[in-house]
Parts: sequence; C-alpha cells; structure tokens
Amino acid sequence: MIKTNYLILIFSICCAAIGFSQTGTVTGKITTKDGETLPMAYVYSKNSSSYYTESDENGKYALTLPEGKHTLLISILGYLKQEQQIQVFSGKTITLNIALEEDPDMLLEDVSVTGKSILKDVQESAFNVVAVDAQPLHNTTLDISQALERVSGVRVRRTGGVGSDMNVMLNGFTGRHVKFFIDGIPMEGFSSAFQLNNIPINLAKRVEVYKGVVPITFGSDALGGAINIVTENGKQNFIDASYSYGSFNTHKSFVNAAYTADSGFTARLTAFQNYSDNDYKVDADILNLDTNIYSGEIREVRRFHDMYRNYTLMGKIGFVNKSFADQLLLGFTWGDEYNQVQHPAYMKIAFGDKYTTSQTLMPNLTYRKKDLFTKNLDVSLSANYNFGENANIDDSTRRYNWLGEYVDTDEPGEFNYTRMFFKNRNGAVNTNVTYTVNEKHAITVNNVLNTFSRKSRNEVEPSAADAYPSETLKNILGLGYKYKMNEKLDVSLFSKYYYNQVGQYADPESDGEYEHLTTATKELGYGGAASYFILENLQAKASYEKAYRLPTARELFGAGNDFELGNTDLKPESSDNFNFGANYNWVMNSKNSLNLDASFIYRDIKDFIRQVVSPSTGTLQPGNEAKVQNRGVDFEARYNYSDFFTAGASFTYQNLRNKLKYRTGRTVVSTIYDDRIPNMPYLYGNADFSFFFKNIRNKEDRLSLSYNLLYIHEFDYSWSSYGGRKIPTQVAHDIYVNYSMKNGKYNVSLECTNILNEDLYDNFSLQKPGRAFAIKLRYFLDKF
Amino acid sequence: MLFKKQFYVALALATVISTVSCSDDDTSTSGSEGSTATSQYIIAADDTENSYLVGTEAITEGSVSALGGNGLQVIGTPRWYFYKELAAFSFIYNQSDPGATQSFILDTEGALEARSELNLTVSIQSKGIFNNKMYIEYSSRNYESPVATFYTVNGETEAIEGPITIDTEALAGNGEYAYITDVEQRNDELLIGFRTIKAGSDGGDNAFASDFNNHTYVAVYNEALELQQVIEDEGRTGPVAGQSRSQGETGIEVLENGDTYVFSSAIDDADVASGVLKINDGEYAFDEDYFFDISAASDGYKLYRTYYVGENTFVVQMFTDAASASASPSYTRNKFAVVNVVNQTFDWVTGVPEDISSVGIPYVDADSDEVVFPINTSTNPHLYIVDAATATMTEGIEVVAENISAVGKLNAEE
Repeated sequence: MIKTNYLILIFSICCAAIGFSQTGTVTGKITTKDGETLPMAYVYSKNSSSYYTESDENGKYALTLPEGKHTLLISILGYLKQEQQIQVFSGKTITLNIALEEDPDMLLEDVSVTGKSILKDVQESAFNVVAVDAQPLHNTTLDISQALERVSGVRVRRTGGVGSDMNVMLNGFTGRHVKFFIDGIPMEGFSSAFQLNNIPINLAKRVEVYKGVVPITFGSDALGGAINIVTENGKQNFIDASYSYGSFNTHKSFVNAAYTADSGFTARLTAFQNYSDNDYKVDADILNLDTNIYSGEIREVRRFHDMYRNYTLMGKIGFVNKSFADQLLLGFTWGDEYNQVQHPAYMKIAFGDKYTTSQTLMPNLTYRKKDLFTKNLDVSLSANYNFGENANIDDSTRRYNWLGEYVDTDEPGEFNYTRMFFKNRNGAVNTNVTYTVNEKHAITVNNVLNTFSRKSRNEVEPSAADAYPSETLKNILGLGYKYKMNEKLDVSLFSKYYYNQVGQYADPESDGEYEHLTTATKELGYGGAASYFILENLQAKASYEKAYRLPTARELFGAGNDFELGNTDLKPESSDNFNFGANYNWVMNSKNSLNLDASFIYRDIKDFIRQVVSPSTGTLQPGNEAKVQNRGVDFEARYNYSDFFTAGASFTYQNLRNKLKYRTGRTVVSTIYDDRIPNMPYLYGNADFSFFFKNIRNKEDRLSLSYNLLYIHEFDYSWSSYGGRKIPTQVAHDIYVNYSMKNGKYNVSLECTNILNEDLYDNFSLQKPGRAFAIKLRYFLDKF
Repeated sequence: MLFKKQFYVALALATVISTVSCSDDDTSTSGSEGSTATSQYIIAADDTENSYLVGTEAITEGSVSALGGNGLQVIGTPRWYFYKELAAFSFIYNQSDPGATQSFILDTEGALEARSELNLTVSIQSKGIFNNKMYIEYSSRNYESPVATFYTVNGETEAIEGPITIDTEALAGNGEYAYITDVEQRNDELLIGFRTIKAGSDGGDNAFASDFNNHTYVAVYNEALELQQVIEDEGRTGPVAGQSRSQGETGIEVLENGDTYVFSSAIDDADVASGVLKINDGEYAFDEDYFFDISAASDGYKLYRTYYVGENTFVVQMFTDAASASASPSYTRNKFAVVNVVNQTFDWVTGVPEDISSVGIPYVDADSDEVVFPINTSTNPHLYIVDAATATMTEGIEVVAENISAVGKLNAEE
C-alpha cells in the first residue's frame, strides 16, 4: 500500500498549495444570425485552452477567466468559428452575446476530422477516459458495442451475429466488472431488450469509456471501469431517421426526434428496430440423427435458427429552461426482444426450436437544475424502474443437427426442458448535488440506489423457491472534491461507500435444505485523479482508485441448481487501479495535425471471485481464490490533413497474469501461477482512415470513404503452461462509403464488413459472420 | 478533376493495407507427446478449467506432467468412465449443459486418439457394463416427469441405442419415485439398484426426501430393459451405495461363484446401519441369514463406494465422519477399508494421507489385488495404491497438474 499512500500524499500537497488568483466572468447568449439559440456551442480562451465552457439549452454560457486580455473562440458544428477580443477585470462580469454564421462547407463528417469541441472537455479530464464521438458513425449500421471496439483497451466479444450475446472487456476486466450507463443511469436492470448490442449508434451523441478509475457521478461497484452512453439531450428540434438493409436479411430502422416549444414544453421520441435471420455460414460437425454419432467431417452449413428481432420505443415529455427546472422530463421505455437460440456455449449441438424473449417496461424521470436555491448549487436527479418479464423456452421434442434435419423424440427439451419466466423489478435513482465554492473548488455528493428483485418460475419444474424473489439492494454514496489550481493543474479526490444487501430463498449447499438467506456487505473505496499541462499541448494525467465489486446473490447463494453452488462467505473483490497517461496534440500547420495519447495501466485484483470446479463432484462453487495482475499499455493516435483525410490507430497490450501462487489448501506452487489469464486477447488494435471529398455535384454534397482494420493476435484458449488450444490471429477489414446531400440532410451509405471473408472468432469455436454488405439511408434534419 | 485523383489515391491505399494485413489460416492445435506404450495408465488431470489425458506405463514412483502439451487436451472437466481397458469415456455432467460425449482409445502406435463424438441429450448419472454395451442413465428427480432415461453405447463400435425410458413411479411402487444408483450384469440380466425419493411431490424442498431410507431395492431387468421383478429388503440397511450428488456408482457386485453382494451407505439416516446384503446365485431374494453390518464393524462409520479385487475382497471408500452418509459433497469420503464379505472382516487401510482434498475415480487392478486412487492433497496430486492383502496405501506417481480426477488403463487396438 506504499504506492497508494504516496499518491495520496501528492494530492495532499497539491491541495495545500491553494492560491487565489484574480478572475472575472464573461456571460452571454449564443445564437444563429437569425436569433435561434445554439446550445452546446464551445466557448474557450484561445490564450489557454483549459478555460472553456459550453452553452446551455438556452444558448447561455458563463466563463470565468483570469484578469487580462483574452481572445475568446466560439465554435459549434455547422457554423463558422468566431473570435472575440475581450478584457477581463477582476470580480467583474461582462456580457458578450454572439451570433454565429452558418458554415456552408460544414458537414457532419468533419467532426471526426476537425471537431473536438465537446469531447475535449471529457478527454481532458484527469480520468483515464476515452470519449468516442458517435456522430461520425451515424451513417453506419453499427450498434454501440461495435463502436466501442475501436477504443484502445476495449474488446467486445460476441457469440454470433445481430443480437448475439456479448462480453465487453476493458483492460482485462470482463462483463461483471465493467458497468454500463446511459446518461449516468446504470443499465444493470434494463433487461436484454435494451442493451449495448441492440442500441443503434445513432442514439448516442458520444460514448465515454472510463478505464479503471470511475468518477463518483457513476456510483457503481465498477471494479474495472465504466462505459457511459451520452444521448442527444441538447438539441431542441430535430429529426434523425434511418433504415438499413444488409446481408443475412438484416433490417434496422431508427427514428429520433425532438420538439421544443417556446413555452419550454418539450416532447422527444426515439424508436428503433433490429431484425436479422443471422443465417450466415459456419463450419460444423454433422450429427447422424439415426445413429446419434457425429460424422467427424466438418461441413459448411447455414445457421437456420438464429433469428433475432427487437423493438424499442422511448418517449419523453416535460419542460426545459423553466424557473423550477432546467430540465424536467418524464418518460417511458418499452422494449421487446425475441431471440432464437441456435446452439449452446459450443457449436457441437444445433438447436431448432429453443428461444428467449425479453421485455423492457420502464418509466423514468430526469430533473436538472443549476443554481437551485442558491447560486452555484447544481442538482440533478434521474430515476427509472423496469418491470419487464423475460422468458427462456426449451420445450421442443425435436432433435436437430446442423443440416436442419430433425427427429421426434419422447422427451421435451433440446437442452434442458424449461419453460422459465422471470419477473424482474429493477429500480435505480441517481442523485447528484454539486456546489462550486468559487471557481476553484467544487464539492459533489452523489448517491446511486439500485434495487433488484427477480421472481422466476419454471412451469415444467415447480420449485419451493418459486414463491420467493431474490432481492438485491445496492447503494453507493460518493463524496468528491475537485480543485482546479490554475489553468494547468486539476485535481479530484473522491471516496465511495458501498452497501449491498442480498436476499434469496436458496439452498447454497444443494443438500435439499432451502432457507431464506440475507446478507449485507459494506466497503469504503477511494481514489483520485490529477492532470497537468506540461506544455500547452502536452497533458499528463495520473489516477488511482481502490475499487470494489460486491458479490451477487447468485455467487452467494448459488444458481438454484445442483451444479452451481453458492458460497455465503465470499468477500468483495477489490482492485488497485493505477493509470498514467499523456496526451500530445501537435498542430504542425494549418492543415496537418497529430494527436497522440498513451497510457500505462496497472491493475492489481485481489479476492477475485471465480468458479472453482470440484474434481470429484463436477460442481462449481465460487471462491475468492484468484489474484490477478495486469500491466498494460493503451495507445491511440490520430492524424488529420485538413478536412480531406484522417487516419487513426489504437493499440492495446496487456500483461494479465495469474498471481495466485498457492491455491487454497495447497503447499506447492500452482502450475498456472504467472500464466497469462487464458481466453483473453492481450494484443490487439484497430486502424482506420477516411477520405472526404467535397464539391462533387454541388457545394452541399460530400462523399466519404472509410476503411477500418481490426487485428487480434493469437491467444491461448486455456492456461498456457499446459500447451492446449489456441485462438488464431484474426484480421478483419471493413469498408464504408457514404454520400451526403444537402449538408447531411440526405445520406446514403454502403458498407462491407469482413471483406476478405475471414473466419472470425471471439470465443472458442463460435464463428462470427463472414463477409457482409449493408446499405443505409438516413434523413437528418438538424433544426426546424 | 481533383476528386478523381483523390479517389484513386484512397483506393490504392486501401488495397495496400488489405493486402499487407492478410492473415494465415492457423488452426487450433492440441498436442500429445506422452508415453507411446501399447498398454498405459491414463490419468485425467486438469488445470482447474480444462482436462488433459496423460499416459504413463508405470505408476509406483516418479512423476508425469500434464504441462507443455504432454497431455491430450479435453475441453471442460467431464466425468470419466473407463469401458474395460479399451476406451475412456468423458461424460459432461452438468444438468444445464448436456453435450457431446467423446471417448479416447490408444491407437496401434500407443498414442491417444479421440473417437467420434456421441450425442446424448441427458447428463449421465449411473453406468454399468453388460457384455459389450454400457448402460448409462439419468433419473429425474421431479415428480412431474417420473422417468429414468437409458441409453446403451457399444464400447467397441460406439453404436448408440435409446433413449429408453423407465416409469420410476411404477418401479418404486411405494408412492415415491425410483432413483437409480447402480447398474450391474448378472448372467443375461441387469441388476439395477435404486432408492426411492419423493421428488418434490410432497411440496417439500428436498427432492431426495424419502420415507424408505431403511429399504434396499434391486430391480431385475432383461437386456431390452423390460422389468422382471424387484428384490426388496427392509429394516437391515439402506439403498444401494455410492451416491455423490446425483451420481450413483458401485454397490452391486456379482462374484465369481455367482453370489451377488449388495452394499449400502444407508444414506440420509444416522439410525440405519451401513451394511452388505447378499443375493445367492440364481435366486431372486435377499438372503435372510446374511448381513454384514459395516457400521458395527467400523465402530460407526458408513461406506461410500466399493471396488472388488477378487477372492471375496473389496476395497471400500468410507465417509470420513462417523455415522454420516450423504450425497452432499460437503461430506468428505477420505477413509478407506478392506473388507472380506464372506469372512466378514473389516480392516482400516493405513498410510492414507492426512490432507486429502478430493478422491477421484480409481482403477481396479484385480490381478494384483490393488486399487489405484487418484488423490488430490496439499501437494501435487499423486496416484495412491491400496494393497488389499496388507490394507496399506502407498504413494505412487506424482502428476504435475492442478488436480486429477480419474485413472484407468487402456490397451492399444490390435
């Protein structure tokens, strides 16, 4: 713990060095030439890029600057940049209203080329965060999880095509350690009808990936990091509608629209749909249904029972910019999902009738107010409650092989005779209060309350446990302090108090004795982050968090079967997460610019919960048995040449090792000590480039051509000391062509993914789609 | 046209990158460079997640490693069952994940070879060999579906027959449901040991609850699995032995003279004695005059599984704690004894390691009066050899691996 203490010491010294310089404030309103308000315009001092702000939904902004002369730069997508000279006097407020002129050449695609604007705010925070600008991807058919794959340190592993199961890995942490948020609300209880693998990229304005150290506003036991989807909230009147059609009979549609009246009344509607037959070709061993013996001969066959569809509808009504609220929205999300299951966790068996359904029924509430009761006191609250029902149905009496042939049998259930219905009740409330003492000190209190209750019932195998829900109540209270010493140094310190209460009617030993069990775990976590501008274009960052993940009800009490047992003695998993990074932004001249971002990460995970197999009984029981260490490097680079060309690359190397030297009850060094954690890519990267062509038929049309490369180096499926199977090196190439008319109002895109039709696997033997084509038509009206 | 030029530049660049980054088609490999003798002991080792079959000619001393490609990798941690000395079968035991069953043999070169995979739609609980067929089954523990599902697999040709279902409510005949715990051949008949359970029919939480824990049942079936009759005993001991979780193994043994001995753990009831009953050659009833009270002979302990080494002598694995016998894995089974069922002698095995964490499926070497147990302790796992003549256990070969779960012997195909 010497390292931790040392880091805290540094922070303390920084905090002690508080000094008060003389500052003044500039406020005003940003509009178009026609007087229409412009929210989210970026306002910053040219003299020092660390003084910046953004206009609110009313177009208003306020920026505090050191005394003296400044050149203010005001920019927003689609408008010409404007510069204003101002003189700031200590303690005085000056008003500067700005009217921006539309940029006739500006197109959406330029965001990726030239625009940093709002992303910069996030990127330059002291945390190890990557913000993906989603807007340049809005003409593609990507879902959010696919867009995430382009971020260094992130791998998204899928079991198949559209709608298939996915597992996000972030610097060696997987699934349960990485938490997802949408506008700061935890997505844990959203059910699978509304998840990263079915939400189209068009819903997101940007996606923020917090590696290892997670700001307190995301109160969650996210041991390994957090991913936050930021949706379009600022725009007042717009329509974004698109439809795409692609290989494997894939249809995707999306509509996102908002209307805001002068009275402040606002109505927003988002609807999307995905459908795919997922009938891509795979290599499979064919079972002879007469003999029940596999042929052993691998044949190329089409998937025949893998249809996926989902519908989601989100509506919100409320008010913006009223005296009682900057934003008060009441909404409802409805989601419905149907998913055919083609095979279990390996490809040997083919199913022909098994399916799952999922439903999201979720009212939600958002409230935001700046300067509530008193100046500088900002309050926000968001809450939701999901009460959808899910089902898992496996009651067919047919047995299939990979050719789609079947025989009838007497026994129902292709896998395990089930008609299981889950009734989930999930609620989340995120409350955030920030008080800014003066321009330098800000204190934030954040609380996230999460409740979960699940009642399940298997119609074909009634159990005494059916009558009792399994329940979780999780509360995370955070206190944060932010200190901005000057334009160069920025420090945040925070602490989180975790409380987790789980209750379940269970039989943890599987000895037939059910009882109602509850247990509560508590932990105190803490961390900090600092950033310093060594040069105006060179920023250094460091952050640390002692993070926890509390055991789930399933880990404590078992899965309710006689195979996966519970362990009521489990301790929370903990991790020391360190990040050191640097960002260098080199503007060579007016046309060439290069941005380099490198970070070194260190993760030391203790009391890691893993399922331990009992060799004599074949059962699994979770234990705090593992100890894992990761040292890794994430690297990102982007080069821009004017608004004609951009190229980027991201690269990740992680040295993720098993550090458990002696297993429980053992006196010999484990044979897998210091092995790489198996079945986990450790060397991978992306590269992309795009060309943008203007003036094709007329000034308002644009053509863009993009290429994306994905590389994953060979990795071991199992513990490497044993020399078992490997997952081979994989390379995939994707090409995107987009033609935009009328400044991005009408868009046609063509894409070809996996153009060389390579065999791609994220999981052992589970083949992903080969070459696929798609066309997307999109209508985008920015304001009306 | 500036646009045209830019377009060609872009296209050229795309082509170059695509060409440069083509991958070669690696395939997954799993190596096996172990022993190449035509008769080998095969040990199932694991790295905690996946299994490795390791071959060795000698087992009394030395060390063999599953590391570095020396073992044949088998995905997952299946349950192993040796069909005679011909094939090692891997059965996936996971109710929610049944799957393909694969068997491994020694080829003429003495190398392990995977045979064609078989499709079984149920997890396998009890198994037995009848001539050249394995009878393998799964008993439901839910009164809503009162069946036991059998398959037969020809150990040589791998031909599968089934599923054949048995009505467990009818078989029990006492208002409960039959739950099969052992399968054994006697001449041209199958002796199938079972216990009866409530299977949730009482609305209770424990599917294995029973009012008949002091009954012993052996059903007699013909080769086609048609019920002939049920042999029953009451009040002396409990159901046929050897249950761990849902899996029952051993307990019925037909000796050279045709007499059948039936062992019982007397599970789930501290008041019922663990013991041995006898069915005389050619008869269809328990011998009223024969009862070997193991609980009494061992000063209160109960037996778990039984391995016959010949000459009326069995090596018996016992529950560690007195008076306890349960299917639950938290009841350890770390004691061993040698019993003679005719003389009714009981001798504790000496030399058993103190720090056993688990005991795997053993190899019975009847020719040498020995049973070879794979045992995990606080050090690397070892094979331990019980000599029935002296009732002693000695440490054999070390296996460099995280765990071992089974050992058997395979002879190469001729």
